[in-house]
Amino acid sequence: MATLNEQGRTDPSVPVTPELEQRLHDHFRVAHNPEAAPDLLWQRLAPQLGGSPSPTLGQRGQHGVRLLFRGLAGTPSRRRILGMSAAAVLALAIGGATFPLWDRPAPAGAEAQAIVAKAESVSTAPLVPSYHLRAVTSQGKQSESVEEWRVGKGRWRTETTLRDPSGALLSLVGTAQNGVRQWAFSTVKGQTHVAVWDLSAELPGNDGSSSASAGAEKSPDANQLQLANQQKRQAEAAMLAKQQAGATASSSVSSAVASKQALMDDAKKRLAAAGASVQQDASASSVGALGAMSPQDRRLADEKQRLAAAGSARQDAATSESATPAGMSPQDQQLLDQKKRLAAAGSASSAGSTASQPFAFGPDSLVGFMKAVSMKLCGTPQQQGSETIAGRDAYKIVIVPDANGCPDGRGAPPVGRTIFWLDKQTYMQLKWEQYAPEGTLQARYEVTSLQYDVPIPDSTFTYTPPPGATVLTVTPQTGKQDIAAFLNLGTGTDGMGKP
Amino acid sequence: MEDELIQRAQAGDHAAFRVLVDRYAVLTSRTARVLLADRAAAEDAVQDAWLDAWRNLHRFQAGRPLRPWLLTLVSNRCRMAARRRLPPSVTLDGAAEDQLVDPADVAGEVVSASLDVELATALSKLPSEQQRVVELRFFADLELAEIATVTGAQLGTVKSRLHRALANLQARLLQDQTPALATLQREESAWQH
Repeated sequence: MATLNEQGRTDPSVPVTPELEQRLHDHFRVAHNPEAAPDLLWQRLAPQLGGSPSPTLGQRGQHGVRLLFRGLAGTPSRRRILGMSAAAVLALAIGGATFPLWDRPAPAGAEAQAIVAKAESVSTAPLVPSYHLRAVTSQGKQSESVEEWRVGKGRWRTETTLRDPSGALLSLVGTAQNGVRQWAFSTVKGQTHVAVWDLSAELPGNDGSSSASAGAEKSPDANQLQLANQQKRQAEAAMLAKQQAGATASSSVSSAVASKQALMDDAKKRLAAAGASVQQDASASSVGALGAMSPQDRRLADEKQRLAAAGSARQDAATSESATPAGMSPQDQQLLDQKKRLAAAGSASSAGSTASQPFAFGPDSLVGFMKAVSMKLCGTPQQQGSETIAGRDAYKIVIVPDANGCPDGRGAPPVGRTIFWLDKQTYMQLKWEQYAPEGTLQARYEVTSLQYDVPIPDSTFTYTPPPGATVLTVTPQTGKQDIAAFLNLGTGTDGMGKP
Repeated sequence: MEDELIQRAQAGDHAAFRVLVDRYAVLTSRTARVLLADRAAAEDAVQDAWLDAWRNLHRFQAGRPLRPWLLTLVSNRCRMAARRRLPPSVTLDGAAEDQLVDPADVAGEVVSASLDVELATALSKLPSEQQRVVELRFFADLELAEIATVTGAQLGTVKSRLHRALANLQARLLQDQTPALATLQREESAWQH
């Protein structure tokens, strides 16, 4: 039993076990991750230092003007643009354990939707119209079951449940979205809390003060309007930020981009070095050729591939309507059926809702996945054969973070070996295991059943609070922490007095 | 050694000042991160505090410890930021850039899966001032006197808060095996910039 004094160590009245102290250190290190890198801090500071620390009259004047300018217009380096819903949903969705990578329902804030739409628009991964899956996820001794439904880009539901050994429900946490309506809900010890909000509050003409309860279902074009509006605001904000930053300021955007570029370069090097270890299956796309292309050529090839695929899908659908090819495997049959549905969906999409459009799971190849993993975990990923997960053929990919840490000054990730199993056809993650640096298994996730392209009733995506539930109607003034606190999720306070 | 760096920085030596920035970057960033929950606001506060340090370095007496002075500057900047009471926000630049360049959030998921759920739950049940003291002590690694400086509280108050917080945590962790709320309780803490 250690104790604390002014130096935090030897006061006999404050007991703290070494185990608790270590847990606190570990917890905060993870909870506050990522930390600002000293290099990035310096990049932001250096252009503003001037020649001497003793301020000249002119510098004092400049400083005063800068403070006045900030007071009027906000800090130039950080534009606070996202609305309530985006911030809240990002906070809730991005970190969710059941949203492992890009293969889960996208964060649904207007800004986030624009981001995801952009990311998906440049992906050539096979489009998926819908899916339903069950999975288990475990962390330490706790194991939870996950169920997800998704149709298109704007309709999903995910539920994570924890039960005791007798099967009694201990907790249920989930999110749902149906068009512009979104719900986050939790049921713990029989008490249900529901936060509900209306994404259309971000639409043009809305002053941002409308509450979710006022929002009826919007027209099918609502999401498109929302995206267009957000993109416009994003462009305006970027221009404003650039004007404010001026010629001398090193904006955080540019430094972030530079840093990201360094990471990408590093990932490329790693992948080049690991090239021989990537044993691409014959069924996979022409990864080697794509990997060697320039970005411009790659985009051109992607576009051609997309157009060809679209044409092929329609042709396949037309030619296969009257005949079922003999000797076709169930998987090929499933793929053909999917193409037919996509062709039908494509012809109807001009009049349909963006919310029901097929979606992709992210990077468009095994190499794309490995590059992303390499950038994030700063290691060299390697494909180690294939396995079958939930009846699907999957690539097995292993990555061990580099002991030297990341090249952008983030240091080593606080994790060890991580293994992913990736669906060979859709690139959806079917399983992952994450180990501590010392080698013990920390967490795992595994899909146990999965169906693509399944009919799912629209009512699945609308959450109806049970009797007695407490409902919070989220407004633009509602902070994400307020939502988390309401849902009893314990993300703490703002640290300066606001509960 | 540090005195020499300070004197060189006072003379306008950027390289010396950078060494000081690198040396205390983690301390100042973590302190601001605890005092201001908004990540972007905390980064701005740290940046402003370091600019304050640079502009006022000529007044700093060589031979005195730099650390408490820096912490005072950081806490002042955090108080100013908190007074503005900006709503919680997500910065577009970081989020958008990350998502557009790399839609995958591999490590974000991996890292979030590492959260100590029981401890997070127990911490969330503490009064906010106790949470802050615990974070400043075990995340920012501040001494109790330094916590008193940055929070504006008396040393005795800090000690009693920390004592109560740790006692509460110990008790809760022993008796309360709270079910995990895995899906939504993660912080916005993706392994990203």
